[in-house]
Amino acid sequence: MELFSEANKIEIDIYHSLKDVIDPELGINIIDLGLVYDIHYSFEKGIVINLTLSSEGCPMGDVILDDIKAVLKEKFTFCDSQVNLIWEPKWHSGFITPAGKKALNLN
Amino acid sequence: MINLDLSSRLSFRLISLHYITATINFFIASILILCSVESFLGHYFNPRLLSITHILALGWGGIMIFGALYQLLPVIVNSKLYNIKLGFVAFVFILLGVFLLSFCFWSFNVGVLMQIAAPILLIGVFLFSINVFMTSAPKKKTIEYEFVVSAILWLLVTCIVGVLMVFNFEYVFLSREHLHYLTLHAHVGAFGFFLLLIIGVSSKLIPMFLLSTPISNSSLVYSFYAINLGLVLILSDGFVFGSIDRIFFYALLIFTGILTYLYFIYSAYKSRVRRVLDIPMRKSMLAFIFILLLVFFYISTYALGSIEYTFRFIVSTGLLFFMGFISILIFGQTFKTFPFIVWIAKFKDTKNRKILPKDLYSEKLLQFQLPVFFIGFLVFLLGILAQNIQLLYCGAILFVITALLFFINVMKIVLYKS
Repeated sequence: MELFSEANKIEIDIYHSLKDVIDPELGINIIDLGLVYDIHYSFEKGIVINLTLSSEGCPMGDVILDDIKAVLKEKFTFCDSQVNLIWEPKWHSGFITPAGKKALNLN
Repeated sequence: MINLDLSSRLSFRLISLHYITATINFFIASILILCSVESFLGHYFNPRLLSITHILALGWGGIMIFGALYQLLPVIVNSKLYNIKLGFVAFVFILLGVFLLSFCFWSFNVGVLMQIAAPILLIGVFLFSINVFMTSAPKKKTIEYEFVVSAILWLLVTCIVGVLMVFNFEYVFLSREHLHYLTLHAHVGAFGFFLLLIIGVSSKLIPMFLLSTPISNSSLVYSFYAINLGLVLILSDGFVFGSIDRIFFYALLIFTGILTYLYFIYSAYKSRVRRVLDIPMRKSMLAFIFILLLVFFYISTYALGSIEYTFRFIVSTGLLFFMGFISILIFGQTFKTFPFIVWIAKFKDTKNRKILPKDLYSEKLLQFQLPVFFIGFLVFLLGILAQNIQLLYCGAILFVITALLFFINVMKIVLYKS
């Protein structure tokens, strides 16, 4: 029996690939920063990623989105991808992973 | 979605031009301070001091802030800059105006050349203002936007009062003495333009850089109304009733606005996620301590009965504002903003993104610059208060070294090669 479906495996793969996208101001990746809320893959819709920024009007928003698109374009050539910037729920420090907290010297 | 278009070559050039020019102007100002330290011993209304003040206020602080605003305004209003080419034209007028005006003050040429210089500067500021106002207003009017817009309006008022004073040198048409209007000009320029603009931009940037939890902006709203009301009272009393006697009380109203703004910054600092601050942010935080010192010196100026001490405290207050508060904020924020635009322009290709904006400048140099500046500032301030020329020379030498270190670090960013 397979633990993960093919779609799940792709989603896990996307999750790890997004660790290559670094927030230029903080110097840590967007997964550990807790910016990525949702990763979904289906054969029909392709890749859909919902993410937020640490604050509205963040000047690095464009750069982060460009980097995500570049990573997806490079590694997941077999499908379309869509990246949505959302503001609910509002990002807060509770979303940062333990690895991110360590990188940011948080308790 | 924010579209900064920072990778555009033209936008990159416009912003870089402002940062580099302002950095050079700071170096020029520090050399001029060294060459004329004796000017800091007497009355504040003297040609050398007026010249240095205008280079510091407009050539250094002004041009740097204009460049930063071209970069940050699109962030604040979530829109593209109205016209980049207009930014270049405004830059030429402003730079030419500042140099001619400063030269005229230095040589105390209050004739035709100054009457040409002042309107040139006014045109430059007017063109800059058009660019700011025409850059689309945000869908949701934020308090930060209101601060920026009112700051630009006060800048125009400051320049218009300045132009009137220039022409009043030759064709005496203003009813009161020159110092009366100089007081109004200085208050509106310092609190109206610099302070409001810094509050508007920093109230957006500081919580962003500190990763602060959302803070209520009610203290900012109070600050906005208190400072603007104080300025309106200063100007109307000064022009309509011809009095500057009550200016101290209006300034107290402005100071309540400063204190509530500092409370906002303190709240952002206290709720920050980033516990360890980087050097640029540490410098920025120091600037807020300087503004408290400034308030203390301003109040002391009025509290002192002796005219001799009053002059010393007025010059010290000016030093605290331009060399203290404004300069140290620029020293910090330059390395939080400028490396990003250069980084985006130079590393547009995502494959090169292993280098981060903070890698573009030397942290060691920045770290070294802080004590050099700080010691220089304290020594120079003591020199003014104690009327000691040796201390003034020592402080001025350290200012020149500070300016040189800052220039090297800015050029390191500009010339960075991957």
